[in-house]
Amino acid sequence: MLSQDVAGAPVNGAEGAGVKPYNLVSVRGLRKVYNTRSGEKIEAIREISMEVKEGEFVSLVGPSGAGKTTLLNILLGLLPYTSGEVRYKGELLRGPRRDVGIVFQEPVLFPWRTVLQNVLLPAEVIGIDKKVALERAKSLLEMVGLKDFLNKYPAEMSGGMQQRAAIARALVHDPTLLLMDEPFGALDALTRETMNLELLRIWKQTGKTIMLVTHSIPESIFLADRVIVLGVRPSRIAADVEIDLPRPRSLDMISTDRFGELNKVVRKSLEVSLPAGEEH
Amino acid sequence: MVSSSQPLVVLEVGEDDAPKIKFSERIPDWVLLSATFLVLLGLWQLAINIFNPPPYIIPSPTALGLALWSAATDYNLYVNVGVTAEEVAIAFVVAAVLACSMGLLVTENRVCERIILPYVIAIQSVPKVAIAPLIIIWFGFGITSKIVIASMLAFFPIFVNVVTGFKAIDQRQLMLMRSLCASRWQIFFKLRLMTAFPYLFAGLQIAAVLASLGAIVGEFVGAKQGIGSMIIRSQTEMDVANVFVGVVALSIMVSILHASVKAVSKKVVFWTEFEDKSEA
Repeated sequence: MLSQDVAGAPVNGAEGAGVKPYNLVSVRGLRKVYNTRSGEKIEAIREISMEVKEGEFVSLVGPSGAGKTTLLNILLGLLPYTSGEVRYKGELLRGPRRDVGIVFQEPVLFPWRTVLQNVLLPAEVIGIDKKVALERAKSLLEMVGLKDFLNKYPAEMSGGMQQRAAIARALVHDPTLLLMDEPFGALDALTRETMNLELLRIWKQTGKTIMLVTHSIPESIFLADRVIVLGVRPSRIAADVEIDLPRPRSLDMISTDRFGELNKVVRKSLEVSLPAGEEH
Repeated sequence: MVSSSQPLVVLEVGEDDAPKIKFSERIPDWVLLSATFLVLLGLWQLAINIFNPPPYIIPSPTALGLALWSAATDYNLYVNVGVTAEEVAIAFVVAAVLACSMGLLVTENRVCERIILPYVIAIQSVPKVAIAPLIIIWFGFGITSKIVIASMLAFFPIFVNVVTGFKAIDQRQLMLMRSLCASRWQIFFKLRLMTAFPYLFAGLQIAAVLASLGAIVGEFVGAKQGIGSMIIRSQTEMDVANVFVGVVALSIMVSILHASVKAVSKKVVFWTEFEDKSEA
């Protein structure tokens, strides 16, 4: 009996190591050093390791210069990293991937295209069947509340509406992961609240994995399953806070005690991550 | 929540910005402009009646009107206008094609940029009008020499604008395209070309005027036909009224050319109109 167990152990171990499942996003020991033109080296990211499961909503918060955008660009496959490894669906990330969607702080719509044409852009680039793409674009635009604005040009719409169109565009090619870089940072507070609720609804409806960068601690908590706090440059992960608020979330949860506690936890880790003298 | 965001948009339009326009603001532009024109004509006629200058110095508006009428009914004017128009049109097209292709070459290829750009800048500093006599010696008294001079003048504004336009690409729009693994061609046609178009058309509008200027200067220096040679001939004959006829004919021609370029530009780069409006 004993010998059998011993004999079996290495086999199991080897199997476990070989088929060990990667999460959707797996970042291990990521480091990024920029070489400036003057030959100076700037360490933007010292060491980041994180796992994001499929279907999860993760917020990334951190002060300016915490390398949030750097991290996002690396995840987009647009920026090479210095060392460590970034895996997406288990594969090493070697460049941009078509199963990732991006929403920037500004809508970044093409002004010469109508809303519908803008949403169709990724489908055109990727070469998705026109009929399929059109149907999908229309249903996405309906989902974000723009079905009456298909043929409007971006300049004819408000900032909030433009950002909805940008979200629809990011989803049209059905990516598994949606990256959002402070998507509501340029909107007024009221529109921002509305957009937060909309985003949660879209997330629930589409089942996408979302990684959202934000400056706002309440926003990060309100939306996410998990808040990852990045420390100031060279950045590391200062905290990884599980958000155990029930879903579906509603705006009145912001005034609950639990929300307040989570807010305090995230804020505290943010303050700790700031170097001495820069506290406010 | 979707519905709650809609009234926000409606409010932006506002309801009470229609009234409160002063009477003077409501007079159409064309009424003001033609009234001013008539007043100036009247003053001119009055000055002629009072000071009575010889007609070879300055004709009265009535004499000019008669000269215009007799010229308008003389097919000779149309031959001259036709020649100049032909020179300008060919020069405009030649300049546009050359400037666009060289602009493209310079922005697409670093080596071409380093070879071509310094020369173009150096040549630009030469006053093209000053070498018009040389061009006449090389290309003769026919329309070829005028086309050369006119296209030299028209080339630079188009070239400079095309180069600026191809470099004016929005970094986030480019990031979006790259994140979708867009090919070089897709980025070119869906983004860079569209970004360059407004610049191109701004250059074309300037070029239309400069091409006309170039053609006239060429005709001044030496030509058998054209509005320029008509003006010079009238000058040597002390026929000032006919000089004015040439100037008026030229102005009308340039205005039509400029207006048509502008009209085409409005159609092609319609989205720049939105931007102007939103800034106002």
